[in-house]
Amino acid sequence: MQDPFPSHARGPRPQGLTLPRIGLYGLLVVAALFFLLPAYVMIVTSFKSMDEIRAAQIFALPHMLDWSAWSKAWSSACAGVNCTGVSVGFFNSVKITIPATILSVLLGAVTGYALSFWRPPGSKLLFAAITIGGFIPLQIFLFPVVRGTAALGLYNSLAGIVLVHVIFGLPLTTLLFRNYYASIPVELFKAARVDGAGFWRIFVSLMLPLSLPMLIVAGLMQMTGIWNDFLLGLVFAGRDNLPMTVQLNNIVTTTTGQREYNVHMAATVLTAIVPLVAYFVSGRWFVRGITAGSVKG
Amino acid sequence: MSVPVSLRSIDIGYGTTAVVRDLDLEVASGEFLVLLGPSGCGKSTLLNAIAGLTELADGEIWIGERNVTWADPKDRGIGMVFQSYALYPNMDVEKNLSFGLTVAGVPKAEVARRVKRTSAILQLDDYLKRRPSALSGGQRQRVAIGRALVRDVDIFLFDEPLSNLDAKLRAELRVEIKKLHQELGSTMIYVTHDQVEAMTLADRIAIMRNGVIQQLASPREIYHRPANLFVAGFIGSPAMNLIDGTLLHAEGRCRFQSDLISADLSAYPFISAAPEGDRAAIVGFRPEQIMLGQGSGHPEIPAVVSVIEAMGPDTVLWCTAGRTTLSLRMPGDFGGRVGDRIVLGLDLAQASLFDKASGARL
Repeated sequence: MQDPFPSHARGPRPQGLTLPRIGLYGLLVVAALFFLLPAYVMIVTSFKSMDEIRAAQIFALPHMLDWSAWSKAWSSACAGVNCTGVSVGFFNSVKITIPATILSVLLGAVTGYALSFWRPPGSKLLFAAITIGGFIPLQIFLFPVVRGTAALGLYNSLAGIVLVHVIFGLPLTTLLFRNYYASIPVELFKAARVDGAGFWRIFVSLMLPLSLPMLIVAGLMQMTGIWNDFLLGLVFAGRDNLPMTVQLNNIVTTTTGQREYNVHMAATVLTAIVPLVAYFVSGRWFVRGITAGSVKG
Repeated sequence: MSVPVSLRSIDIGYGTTAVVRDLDLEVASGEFLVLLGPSGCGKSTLLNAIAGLTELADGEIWIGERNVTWADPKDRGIGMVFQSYALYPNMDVEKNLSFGLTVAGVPKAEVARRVKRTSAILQLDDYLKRRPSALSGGQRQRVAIGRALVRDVDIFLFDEPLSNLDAKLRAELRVEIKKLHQELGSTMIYVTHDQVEAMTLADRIAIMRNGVIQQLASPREIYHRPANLFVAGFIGSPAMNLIDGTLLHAEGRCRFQSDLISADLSAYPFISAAPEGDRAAIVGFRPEQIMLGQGSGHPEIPAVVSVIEAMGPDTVLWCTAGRTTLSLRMPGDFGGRVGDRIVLGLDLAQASLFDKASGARL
């Protein structure tokens, strides 16, 4: 044992790099490498020619940066008889993700705000129902929702897939915002009411600006969730609006002639790049939003 | 302009969770009324009901000539100041002040004029462009008061506005609020659990317990003639000295009898005629109503000094007499020591006499 009271102790305690620390960092580095490995293989393979790929050295670096697989993946890779690459899917995904994210976040914010502050009769019951709804796997709802959208005339349409994403996103966003607003002192709401502000005025002028961190967190979660969705896009979007994930799958599973692994890898990276960039750009805000409420401003 | 407030047989909450029950309260126009009581007595709930932020289960609220029971907060002509300030954190001071006016659609020039006037009254001119987070507690509370002031409200409602401030600021702002009331002459209703605030600010104090008003009277009346044992114990620091005993009738005269004193009550101002028959009673003396030394002409009891608290302007003496501990207030330059044997004189004409069973003043 070390002497806990060394007589020369003075000033800050020395922060030596102890053995357990080194072990901990070592473990973290290994874990990071392990998770980065598939990404490395994907990127490396996408730059290789087919001859190089057939050499079956998946960890080897490519001899030269060959961008042809990328351009093919983007604009001319074939899914069945359609040889348009993932670009069409990319724009479809953009058209689905942007309105569905904005709507589900804003609707969740309004619902959470109403549940937190206005507490209409039955609001507790409604909140319980929403929470439970959020835990039930969405596959269970598929068939009823298919019938529902068909009855509304929205099945196989852009509006339909956006609506479905908004509906399935609402439990999560409502939960997030209700709990976020629960941390805002109710006196603030009372003061605004005494000042004469109504439901929407309080929401727009006071609550929305205060919930910027949560807007970013919920927006990011919804955006990645909707962008990465496969099942709902496949079922509800219709042939003209298939999202990028579905198109990627179609390209990868199309088997005519040889499998173009470099093209498939490039297409996969292209599909994954959007949420990845979003996290890199807003990571700081994301952490701030997650921890918001624990620290009073 | 000042306006009266009238609460008529108000109930708040239902059944076992009833917070306020069958409460009547008339606040005169221009009056400064303080609702005082321990936490959980329903005083804040009552204030929220007056503001229109809490629904009534029964009863009516009238402000001036209008029945506002079903009216929205904005239509009641009230402004409210909260303990937590409740400033809008995303707006600077100027926007905080002007928010209510903007919502009401007041023209811009008029808004600017009123904000300027308000910030001048509250000395906030230098802080108009600051966010609330960049203000001190005292400044924040001044902005909160300004938010009510700027709207030219008839009634000011204060919900423990000074409780979050440190002692020095609290004393300063207390004086500012008093001055403000004198200048504006508006009706003000002020909730607090601090008896010093209540005593110094109020025209009348309503002392509440469990949703019921125990006494509604001027601070002076409440201090010197508490209506029951609860009020007597709640108001005053140190608390009133209470001595258990019996009220005896003998030969048409009333006496108070206990193991400490036996005294004639003919000088005591009974509320009504002295009650018939013998009964258990409690007599109460404020610390400054007990005199030191012999020859006062009043009933005397011997005691021993057990603790001396020097407060500066005065000294509080804790004495033991028999099994009872009594406190008395002496001048700041009191020179005695712990262990001194003293004689206390009790003047029953100044005392308060309570029925032990009901706690009510006799």
